Amino acid sequence: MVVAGIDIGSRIAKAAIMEAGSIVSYAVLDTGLDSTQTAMKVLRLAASKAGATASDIQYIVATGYGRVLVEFADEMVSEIACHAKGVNYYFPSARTVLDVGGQDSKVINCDEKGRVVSFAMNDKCAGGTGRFLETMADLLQLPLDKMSMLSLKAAKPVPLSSHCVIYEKSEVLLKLRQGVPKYDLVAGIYESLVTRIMDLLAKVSLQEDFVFGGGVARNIGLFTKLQERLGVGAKTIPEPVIQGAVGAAVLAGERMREGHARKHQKEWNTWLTTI
Amino acid sequence: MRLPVADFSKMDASIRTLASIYEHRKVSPRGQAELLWYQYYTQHMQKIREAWERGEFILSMFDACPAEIPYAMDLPWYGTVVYGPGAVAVGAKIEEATLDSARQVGLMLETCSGWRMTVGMMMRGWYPRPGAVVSGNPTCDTCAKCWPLMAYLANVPSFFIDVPFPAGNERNISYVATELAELIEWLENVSGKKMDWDRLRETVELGRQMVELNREIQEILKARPSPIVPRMTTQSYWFNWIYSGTPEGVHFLTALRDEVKEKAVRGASGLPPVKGEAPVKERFRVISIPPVPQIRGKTLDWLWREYGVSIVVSTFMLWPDVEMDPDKPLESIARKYLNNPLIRQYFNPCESPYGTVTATVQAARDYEANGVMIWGNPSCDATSGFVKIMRDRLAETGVPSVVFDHDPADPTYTSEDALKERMEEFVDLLESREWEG
Amino acid sequence: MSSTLDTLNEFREVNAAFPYAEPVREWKKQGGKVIGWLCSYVPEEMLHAAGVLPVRVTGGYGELALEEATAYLGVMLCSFARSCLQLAIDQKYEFLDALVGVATCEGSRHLAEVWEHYIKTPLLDILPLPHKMHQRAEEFFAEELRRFKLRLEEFLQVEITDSALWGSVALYNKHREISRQLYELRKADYPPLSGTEVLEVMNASVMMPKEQANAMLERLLTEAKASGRAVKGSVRLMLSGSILNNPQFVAAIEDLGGIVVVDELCTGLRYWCDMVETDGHPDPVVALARRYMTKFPCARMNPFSERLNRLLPLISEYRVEGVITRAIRYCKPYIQEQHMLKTELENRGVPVLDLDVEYGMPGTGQVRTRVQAFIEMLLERRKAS
Repeated sequence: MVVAGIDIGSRIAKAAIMEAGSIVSYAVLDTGLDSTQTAMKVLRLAASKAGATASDIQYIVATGYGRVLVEFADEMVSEIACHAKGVNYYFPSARTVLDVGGQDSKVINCDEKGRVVSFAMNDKCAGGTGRFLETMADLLQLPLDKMSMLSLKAAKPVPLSSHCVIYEKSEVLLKLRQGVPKYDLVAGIYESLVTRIMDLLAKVSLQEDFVFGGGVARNIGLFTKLQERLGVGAKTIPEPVIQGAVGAAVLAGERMREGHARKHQKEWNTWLTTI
Repeated sequence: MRLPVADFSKMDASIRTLASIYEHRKVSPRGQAELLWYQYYTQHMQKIREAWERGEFILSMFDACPAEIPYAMDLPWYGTVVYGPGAVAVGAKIEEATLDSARQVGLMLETCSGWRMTVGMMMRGWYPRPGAVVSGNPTCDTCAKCWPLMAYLANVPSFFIDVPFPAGNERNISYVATELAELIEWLENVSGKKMDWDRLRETVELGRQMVELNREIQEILKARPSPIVPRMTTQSYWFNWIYSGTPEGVHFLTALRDEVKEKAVRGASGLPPVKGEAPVKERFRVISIPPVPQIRGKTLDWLWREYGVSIVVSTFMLWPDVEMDPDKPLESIARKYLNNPLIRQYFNPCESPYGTVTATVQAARDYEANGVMIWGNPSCDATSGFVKIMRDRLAETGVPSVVFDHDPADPTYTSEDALKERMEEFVDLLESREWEG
Repeated sequence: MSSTLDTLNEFREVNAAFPYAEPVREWKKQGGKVIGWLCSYVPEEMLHAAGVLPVRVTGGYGELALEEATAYLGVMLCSFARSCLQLAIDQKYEFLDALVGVATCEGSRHLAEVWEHYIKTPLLDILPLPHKMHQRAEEFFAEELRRFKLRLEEFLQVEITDSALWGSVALYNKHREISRQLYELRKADYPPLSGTEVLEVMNASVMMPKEQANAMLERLLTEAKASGRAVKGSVRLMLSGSILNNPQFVAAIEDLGGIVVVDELCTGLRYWCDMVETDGHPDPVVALARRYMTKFPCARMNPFSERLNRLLPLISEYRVEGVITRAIRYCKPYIQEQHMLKTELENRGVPVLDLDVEYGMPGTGQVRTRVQAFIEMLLERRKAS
């Protein structure tokens, strides 16, 4: 039984292939302009890595912002449910999942089967997301990974008004002009991001195992600061980027086992003949 | 949610800091009033510490509620603001942890940090677990919700003093007086203590004296240069809350009156000169709304020394004449409560005779102010609602104003540098007007 | 979903010209006066008895650019208040002959003050409103209503008689009764009306004479019952929280498969759910004061248990499976009661999704994701039990 999960994010499209209950391959592509086409491409790529073809796929679950555009998917499921399932695949003991993404961040409580018990997402503000770090890295003219390392060196983090990204930008510029060392500034930026993430975590109950996922999970500076502030150790999953796609694939497998029929067979058949 | 019952580490830290400031000031005195302030402030906390150790019933009360009632009932109580966010100013470093706690119950940036900190203090156990919580809806919506929330979190009973808007409505006096009667009955039930009505009448007389002293002080403050230190505009204001109707209150205000009077007669400025340097000059007289945040006392000393900008008065010091009759204690206490300058100004339509805009425009005239500084706490609806009207009205009378994007309790919200930069811009504005004549 | 109902379309036509709806225009054309009210604590009956058309003042049905209004009211003041002011600045409320405010909350009170200062519509009053729901508060409010009545009589140069007041009470009570019957239909497994549609109806009925609204509602009721319409939803939801006018917000929830079967909103159930008692009251003002001081409270009242005790029975009556609580930025009373509400509901096994949105916001991408995840969660729960 081959099933697939697709996660169409605003920037990257991901696909994961599951066979006999295990993830056997995955692929990642830029989302591009045509989400459906990208979905098909990334699916073919993932399938070929597993030594299969797209036509072997028997059920597809789509998630991510572009999920509604994947017309051949058999089901659309929210990112929240998929991330919980994805993390559960790697860590069945996970009870709290934090996902700091490029555009939004979410925190989920789940049970032993990866079912969502409660969750919260950041609001409109970009302050608690990866986008915030990118903006600041641009401002300081530092590559992201360098910034992450620098944050660990600070002697005295500079407090920034934990108020608004726009305000913080001008504050950071002011401090730079005043000759504040970059690493203290970077540490202040991380503090500020951590505060925003704390806002989010406060909305659910933090239970162990705590798993830190999403694209920003690999950011060592953030990861370290967050654990310090929370006083709780966290785990990271091996490939945080594909966690949503993995969850979607797991759900696709469950649906198959439950005997769900394909909902968009016709569209799928049409798409199989393209590209 | 289970909260710790009592963790005195923060209170002890505050008491230690206060005591060391007190010792320091005793050696190099800056005036009797300030000494008393530190002494009585420490005492307010110390009494709670002792009452807790004796296992007594402790009341947690929003500071602006009538303190006369717990005093006359001999109930140990603490003012949640003075002892909570107030502790930040005296070095107890509570802001990060309390704000983190408040987040857990959904209180974020839109809730004033001062109130978030009080909720956080309760959650951390940094307030000793009270036997009951008393609050009311003045001064703001947030106040009306945060104290009941604290009681809910601590799982203790609470009483809410209901004051319908506007405070100046004459019908409110008897409505609130009845609320206070119910509060007393309720407190007798939950605490087991009895009201001493003779003592309550005494608090009315002492309260009357305090109002008079405040009114004397506000007259003296019209002197040039301003005979008061900027931070004292806040310190005296807090004092009027937590020592309302007490001998300590009268003692402190008498000392403050004597001190500003003596300085005014001498023509000395409130801010003492640095040793060996010339006296501090006053170039610009500025009114502060609300009172200077306690965490910014030093910054305003700097502003005066560096640019000659004095704080002449805070509108929250401007007491009206309040009719106080010891034979009608509850009515008198209700009247004083509703005429506390904060409640009177913020809890009436801003352009009504009692309202904050009217009071400020009038004060600018009375104190010959060159400008008005507004501590614009964005999460404070009470302030947000009148700032535009106030600035327009002041501009019509030729008084410039500045709004600081600022948080009264969270020092990390606006950096010291950013604040100073904004103050310097305001000085530029005042100077340019001076040249224009 | 089955075909739309004719009467529903009539309600939609009323909303189409918001805020200067066709019935209001018609009223003005006949020489009538229109008075706007800012909060559901204004006793509309009194305005009606004075012979004017009471119209609810709200913010835009969609999300407006609020820069101008923010300059007057501050960025963290309630987005509903700012949205109302923005419409006034844009001269959308010029048809009002006067405005009545209430000191419900700081958003409402400051809006009225700023309106009075910068917008030329005369402000008749900011009605004082006690915060406790006890006998003395009723007496206090009754006194204030007597004062307000004099003010109104003076402004309009009319006399408001007791019999006129009782007449208006009867009319408004009738509206409450028909609204109750409409909500009753929502208790069915498959209600004939969606939550979106009900909000459209509620929106329209505060923008037209109540006589007309009542007649239309009665027709809608008959039509809905006869139609055999059945709106299917995967889970039954309650919508609670700050003021809501935008039907698109509800539509977003229902597009994702849920059905909103009941609400705890001042634009919905809380608007109609308490009758003015007519028995045993010699004085209509006393009867009105009692109704407004004891009705299903807004979060600004105290203590919180009053609100909770009214909300809980709705969960079982309407067989609600999950509650969506929506606090608008920055509605302090709802935001600050949220923790207590969520705790109390979850302790009783009722899942809660809390959304924090701008007033007027439709269901955008993020809201949709959250609602979808919530619905998925509820379905999982049902499967598990």
